[in-house]
Amino acid sequence: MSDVAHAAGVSLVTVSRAINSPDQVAPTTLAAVRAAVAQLGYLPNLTAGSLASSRSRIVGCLVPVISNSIFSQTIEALTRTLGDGGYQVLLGQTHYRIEEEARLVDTFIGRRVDAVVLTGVTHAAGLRARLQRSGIPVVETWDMARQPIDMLVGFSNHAAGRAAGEHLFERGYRAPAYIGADEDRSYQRLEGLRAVARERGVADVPAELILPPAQIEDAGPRLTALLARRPEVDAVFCHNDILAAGVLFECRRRGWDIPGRIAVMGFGDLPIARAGYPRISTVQVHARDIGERSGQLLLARLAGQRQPEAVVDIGFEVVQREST
Amino acid sequence: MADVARMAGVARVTVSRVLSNPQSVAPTTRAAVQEAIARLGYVPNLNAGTLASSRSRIVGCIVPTLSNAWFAETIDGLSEVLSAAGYQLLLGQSGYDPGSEERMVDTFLGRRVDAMVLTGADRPDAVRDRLQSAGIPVVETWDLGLEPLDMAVGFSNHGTGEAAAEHLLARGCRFPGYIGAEEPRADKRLAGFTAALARHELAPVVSRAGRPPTSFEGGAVALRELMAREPRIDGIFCSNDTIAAAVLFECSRQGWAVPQQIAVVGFSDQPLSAATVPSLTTVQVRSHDMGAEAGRMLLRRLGSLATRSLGGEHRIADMGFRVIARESA
Repeated sequence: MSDVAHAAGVSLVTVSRAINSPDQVAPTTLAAVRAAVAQLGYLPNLTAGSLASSRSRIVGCLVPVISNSIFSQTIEALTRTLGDGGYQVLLGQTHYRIEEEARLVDTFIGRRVDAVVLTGVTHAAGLRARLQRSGIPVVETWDMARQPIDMLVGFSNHAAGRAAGEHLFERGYRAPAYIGADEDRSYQRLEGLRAVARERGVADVPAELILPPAQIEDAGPRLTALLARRPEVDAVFCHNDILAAGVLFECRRRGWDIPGRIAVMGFGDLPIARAGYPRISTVQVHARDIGERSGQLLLARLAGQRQPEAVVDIGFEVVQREST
Repeated sequence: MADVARMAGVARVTVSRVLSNPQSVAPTTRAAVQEAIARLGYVPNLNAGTLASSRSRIVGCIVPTLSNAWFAETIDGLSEVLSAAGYQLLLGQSGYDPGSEERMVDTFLGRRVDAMVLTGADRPDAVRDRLQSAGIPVVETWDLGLEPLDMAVGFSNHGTGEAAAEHLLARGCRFPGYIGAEEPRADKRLAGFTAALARHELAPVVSRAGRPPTSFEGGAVALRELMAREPRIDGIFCSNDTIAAAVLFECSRQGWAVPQQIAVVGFSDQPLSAATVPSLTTVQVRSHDMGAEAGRMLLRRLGSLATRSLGGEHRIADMGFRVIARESA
């Protein structure tokens, strides 16, 4: 590092600052340091920095699965926001198992990550206590909780299910059904839909729940099973847009008119919802905003700033397209 | 750790041994230590282990983007294999920008990652030199260059383009088109497609779907442009399945029959491709398996997998590709 300082004609502490908090260094000085770094091929040992400051500059992030573009969008925005602030993301997949989540959180704490981002608010027993005792910032995402572990960026899945239900009844459908996954957030959307249905005098909303992660190829067989049980179904709300696209394709294969024979509603507003034929009505969730806001909350906390709010409800919007 | 030792009534070194090498400790002692760990909620500092062993047990992985399913599947495969062996993945996205990749490589090396996984085989000599002098295992994925930096797991992108051309030619295609993203690996697929068509004295009409990550919207716009330039187009190769799906949707919208009027061949194969109407014919590559294989290569090198043989056959893994003929071509 002293070679870099020498070449750039600045002090060691300026080199250190240029590496760790570039926004605190004057642009011309920063440029000189970066030129010296490039010229000398210097690679700062960030691990050494982490010992001195007891900061690893690593944030652990857990998602159910990454190969599902709704969580990829959140990770993409989180990685970018934290990266701009000099933090990297250590990634873990829980495969929808809270025990696996707990195991990975312990590994992350053991690695002395500076913060943890979790998906959902239902965790294994003892995890909340361990995280709180560790004293590191935690952001839970993709849901709402009365008592978050620490910070939270999400939305109410129950309210999102209600909104989908209200949209379907407003469009004149009277026999809605649900295709979702056998997991917490999916149940809440179903319960939201059921609450609206009860208010409209519809006592029962049939549901097909798939062992997560639900795949597009699950949609066809589940639609078939659903309609065999309940032929009167006139609208299907799916817990994500991938399943909705699968239902749409199955209907087209059967030569059914959408939304004439059956209406299809998705969740998430993935690109496929906008592109599909017909275009899919959906509940738009701001997946990227979840990642970005989580990153911003963490950066502010890690910089020692006071935060006015630790719980961010980013909401959702019903988007009507051609399928309802 | 001292608290755990006190509660279990053992020496600190015994606690350490239970954590790092449990088989070397008597079962009753081990049980006492593990109970103390559970009761105290003790989480071992894995970084302290890092300094002693100079292993971080972190692997850096840089992909262009997570917005498209295929790289996410590779990460999925990689993370499964590494996680089972006690390694974690530090994730970076380059946004298809070589400069951005270079900065991330430096950051990851600075963090003393144990190994790196990169996407593609083309990078500036300066970056190759830095990675080689770092002395850690590196796996390049999604392509096979002439001389990998260290190890490579991929397939011939040129070959996939040739295979797509041959499939369309065998169906009697006379007016081939190509819609692709503007990035180096897609350009290699186009070069293969063009070379195979040239052997039959044909040349593709080329339409660009914009800078990656590609969107469905970009694919639809590129198709309209392609058809405006050459209305007789009867077969299209798309540089990825997102573009190909967009082409199918836009054909439905425009009333162009697939495959009767236009045959469509995609690239990569993702779950969506088998589900669309009509289902998509595509050149399938093993996105998930590439990640898993990259993970196994690294573990072998890092000494965490049994085999010791590190011959040439373990340095380069050609995962191949195959044409999956479905309804669209």
